[in-house]
Amino acid sequence: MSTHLLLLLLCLVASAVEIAPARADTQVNLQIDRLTAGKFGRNFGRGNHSKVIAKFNGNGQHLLLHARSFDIDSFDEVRIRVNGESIGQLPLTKNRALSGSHLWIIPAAIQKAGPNKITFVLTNNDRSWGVQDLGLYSVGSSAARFGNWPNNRGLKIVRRAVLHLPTDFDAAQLSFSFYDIDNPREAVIRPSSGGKTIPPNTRDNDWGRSFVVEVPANTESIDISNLAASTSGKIWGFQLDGFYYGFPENHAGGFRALTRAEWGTAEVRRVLHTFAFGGRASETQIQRWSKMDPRHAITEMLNFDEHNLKLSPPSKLDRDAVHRQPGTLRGMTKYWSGNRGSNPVPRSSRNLIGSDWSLGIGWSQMAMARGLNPFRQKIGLWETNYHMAVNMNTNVDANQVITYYDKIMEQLENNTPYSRVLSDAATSAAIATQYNHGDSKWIRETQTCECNEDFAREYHQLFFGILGRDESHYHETVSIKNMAKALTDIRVLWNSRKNRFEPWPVWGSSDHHGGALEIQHASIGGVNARDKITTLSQISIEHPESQANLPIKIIGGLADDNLTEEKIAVIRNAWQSMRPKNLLGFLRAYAISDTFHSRDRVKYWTSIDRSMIFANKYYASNQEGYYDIWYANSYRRDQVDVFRPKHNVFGGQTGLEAARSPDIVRRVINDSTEHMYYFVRQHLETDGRKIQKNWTSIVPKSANGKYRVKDVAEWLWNQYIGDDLKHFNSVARAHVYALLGHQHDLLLILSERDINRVITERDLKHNPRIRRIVRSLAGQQLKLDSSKKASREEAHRRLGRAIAFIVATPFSFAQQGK
Amino acid sequence: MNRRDFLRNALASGAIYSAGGLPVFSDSAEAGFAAVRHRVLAGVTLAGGPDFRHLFPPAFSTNTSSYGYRFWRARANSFGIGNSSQAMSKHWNNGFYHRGSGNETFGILKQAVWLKEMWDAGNVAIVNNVIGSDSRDHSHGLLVMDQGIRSSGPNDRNRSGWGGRLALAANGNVVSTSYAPRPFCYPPHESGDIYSVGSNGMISTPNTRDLDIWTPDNNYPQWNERGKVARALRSYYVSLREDLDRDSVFYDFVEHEKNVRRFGVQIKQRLRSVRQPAALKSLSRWDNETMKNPGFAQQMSSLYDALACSDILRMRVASLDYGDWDSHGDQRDMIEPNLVDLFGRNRSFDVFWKALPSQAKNKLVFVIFGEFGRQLNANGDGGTDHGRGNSVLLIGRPVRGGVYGDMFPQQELARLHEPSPDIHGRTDIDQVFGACCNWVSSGSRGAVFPDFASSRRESGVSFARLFS
Repeated sequence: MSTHLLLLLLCLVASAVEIAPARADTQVNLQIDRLTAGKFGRNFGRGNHSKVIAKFNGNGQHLLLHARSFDIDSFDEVRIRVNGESIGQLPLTKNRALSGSHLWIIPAAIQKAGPNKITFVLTNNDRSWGVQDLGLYSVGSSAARFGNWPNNRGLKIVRRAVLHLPTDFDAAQLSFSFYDIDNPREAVIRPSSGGKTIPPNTRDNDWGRSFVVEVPANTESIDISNLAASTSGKIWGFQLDGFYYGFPENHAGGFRALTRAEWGTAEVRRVLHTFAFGGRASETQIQRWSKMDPRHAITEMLNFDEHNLKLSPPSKLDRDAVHRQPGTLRGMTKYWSGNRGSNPVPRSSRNLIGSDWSLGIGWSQMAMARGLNPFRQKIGLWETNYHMAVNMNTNVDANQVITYYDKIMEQLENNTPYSRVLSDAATSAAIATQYNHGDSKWIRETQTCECNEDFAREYHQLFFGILGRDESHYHETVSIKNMAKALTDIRVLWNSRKNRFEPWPVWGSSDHHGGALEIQHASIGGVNARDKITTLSQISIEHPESQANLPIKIIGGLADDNLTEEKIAVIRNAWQSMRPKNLLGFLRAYAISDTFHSRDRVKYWTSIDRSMIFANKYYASNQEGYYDIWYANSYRRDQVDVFRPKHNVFGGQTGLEAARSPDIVRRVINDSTEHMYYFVRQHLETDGRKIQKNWTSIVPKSANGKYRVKDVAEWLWNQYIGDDLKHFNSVARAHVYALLGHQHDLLLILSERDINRVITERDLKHNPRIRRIVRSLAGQQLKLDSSKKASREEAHRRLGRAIAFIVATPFSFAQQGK
Repeated sequence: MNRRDFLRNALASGAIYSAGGLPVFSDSAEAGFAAVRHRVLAGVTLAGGPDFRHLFPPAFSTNTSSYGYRFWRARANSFGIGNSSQAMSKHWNNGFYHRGSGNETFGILKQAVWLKEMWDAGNVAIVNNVIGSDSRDHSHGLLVMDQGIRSSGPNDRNRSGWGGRLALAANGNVVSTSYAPRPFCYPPHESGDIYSVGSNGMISTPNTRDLDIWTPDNNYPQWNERGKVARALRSYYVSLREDLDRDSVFYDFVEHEKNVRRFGVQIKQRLRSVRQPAALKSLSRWDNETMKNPGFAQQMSSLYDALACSDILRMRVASLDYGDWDSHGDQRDMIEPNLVDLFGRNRSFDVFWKALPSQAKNKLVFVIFGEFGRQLNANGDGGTDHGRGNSVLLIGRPVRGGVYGDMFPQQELARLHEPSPDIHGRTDIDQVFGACCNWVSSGSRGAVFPDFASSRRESGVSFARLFS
């Protein structure tokens, strides 16, 4: 008998053994964040089942299911379902052998409140099979750390794990952190769709920072391997910190994304003006984005990287290489205010950027600098000046604000769950100083609190949107009272060597209420205030009032001053369905949704918005901005300043406030007329040094290779107004064409005797002389690149006049959704 | 006539911005200061939750079960004193003017000299136990106080303010003197719908001496750069009044331009003959070191000018604000300088009042309020935490001075040991502010306060004789 025949016979014998029918289903209860002992299946351990039902109580968060399979011979032999929805199959193994560790993501969207069921169903009833090491873990929880390190009390994985992704997403982002990675050869992440990611190095015996892996729609699984395991038994660990659907519209309650047909240049410009102060992207780049799938375009447009060179490409005119500097508030203010030879900022302006009293100017320079990321600064402004505002007009110093700003942005860049971003902000020195935590003590002897309810209330209200409206008595007398006790023994120490306060507080326990405190119906323990805040934040983000109010604060603050009940419901649903909360994913999904691009959305620009949109469009290079720092920060003339919010912790000037102020309209119009020198300058000047104002590097030429007035006018309108010419009506065109195409304005061109007349759309429709003149003006050439100095300077002046006109029109004060 | 019709008719009556004929100048020494022909209510918002009990405490008593003793004991920490009888008695005697009303004796903080003088002149009404929002959060509380709509939720931001509605009901305008107009000033939508905001009826004058849109005069060279854009913009804005849909969100800016352009020139001309009071001018300089907040003196200066131009502006309501009252810690050091800024000798109100022509004083009433009061007990940090009820102050010659409502309810004593005890609201804002509305424009109260019908007034209190 040949070996083959012998094997066949053995298999038949084995099969004969397995023909006995399976007994009833078996059930097992799973606890979240625990491994469950036991072997289940058929001819595996003591089991003889064709179906295993694992029950658990849903917690509304994305979960990870861990399992090892036994004796799986075919791809579809055992299916895994959660509440009836398939999440995959048990992986193949060798005959009568166990697989390695496999993890499946169970999205929050397919879970139910209360009892949930995971079923393992054998599709071929005459097979042996098995599953063991069943475990269920919340994505992002500390229990969901896997690997091989001393004292690992969780699930040990020495060599490799395979993470299976849901099947119904278009693209996803996964946020990982790793343990004790010394070099790039130790671990690797390989998506089944191709490519690989090397985890960044960490400190010894420590977890590193989170990083993000983006995978496309066709990714079924991700292989996570310890490459050094076989040679040295290398310790390692990994954690899935977050899992973000790139496009929540695929799931119930999410936004509806625009289709490719609905997405065009108008939509791209709208996003850029709202979320990136207009951005610095070239017209070519805007066209490119408009032709992409919006869901892909938005990932290029909006990200929290320090540098986004598509959104804000460097200028060839600059030699500052800002795009290679650290794009943090600390890094850039240090660079611009320092005395390094490469610092391009004029000497007298360096103190403006570096001093405590004008830190806001440093921020403005970042928001307008080519080579950085204006979206990052827009969100940074909102987080630190509106949502979680700190105020340098109180005792908060520049060093604390810089640390605060950079930490928030670093976490957003790393896709840290939003609850963690908020809890780390709440435990900053800036907040501790703003709310004067240093005076708050728990007196053990008398069991009394020398404290106040200031941040105890604002933590709930401002950070999370919890007002306690549904249970005000409990909120006032339990949650806030106990939160005040939790916020004790927090000190911000003076560093006499550096002559400044430390940027991080010291968390004591001697003057702290050490016991657990009831807040939001939960028992919040921790040896110091930071522990308690960190624990509480994970609960607060899920509080029903937070779920209802926080997304409205975000969208109301950033993008919509006219939120209707209908839009509010959509926004709330999208936020509630997102677990864990991720600001970037939320904003991206919103920015390409029909909610953002709806006709009744209105965003009124704040004075800072207007100034930064202007600066991003006016300065052809960073160098021009450096030579014009005072004018670039024109918002200060409206009594508005960055890091000194008008309403203290309740935030800076809002768009609505600006829109309701006729005085701001007056100031803007007077800037364009009485003070129009700034628009028509040929040079920008500081320290007695001049640089030529450059237009040719940014104004695109017409198809004929010249600067045709009509084309320049439309380009300017789109630059500053960004509405894809929607409101560039015939009257506005006539005035702008005249200012560009002639040395006089339209009224003077028409008649020296009637210069106060009003030109209406009716005139432009029915008056042949005016029509003829306007048509002629539209066809003129602007001699921006003339070899003759006088012609060039006149072209510059005309361009300046046209800009002065455009930025003082009503359309420069607000943006409409569609 | 229902509220919407009332307000719509007021709009339809036109002339909201008309100059109202030739000004009648006062007979005072203030040349150029026009007679204030109509009553004007000036709302002063003290954002942050001002502790009026710090300004007006009860008389200290050595009787340990009395309100006068237990209040001082509970508040010693926020007064920055020890809680011995000696310390409390000393502070009561040295820190306050002692005044009485009926059986009630209370103090007026000694630094608030002007307030004391106005009280003595019978021109201060202290209305107690007033409540707007039942919420203790600042933004919602302010939103309700500004809008005068108690039923507004925290997200109902885009509604008109009661100052804007009152001005409209009085066929006039509201003048905002702060840099950003408070929502108190927002006028109702042109349809008369108070639950949305319109653009007619609000004038912003943070600096009355710099109010106009620059316009080249007839002697200005036609070919000058500035004139070219100025002409183009003026013509364009006028065209938009015709070409732009009135429901467009951008139409508000067209209206702003129109109003500022119109008023700017007239006010500039008028103020050439009205001397800015030197003391106010000095206080309002940004580098003035005697004022904690010189910006408030600037607002008072603008109010002075606005009154001088009240015929042009058709001012019936004015708005001022002074923030920074959220005194969770070191309350005494925090809010007493604010109170001095407002009511101290040679400070904002004092110098304003001294400069104001007598005829204008007869037509002006200040209503001073914050979004809520503070808790009855001081906290462990020398301050007080958020409460709900508070007092509202009415000041002016037309005011019949006195205390309205129980200033120190005995029932509060029983609650001192409960968590977070505060002043219980007994009178809704609609009642107090509504009385102000009727003083400005008879019968306007119901049109301005949509929730008036359901509002409460403290037992035994009447506002029928709040104004003389």
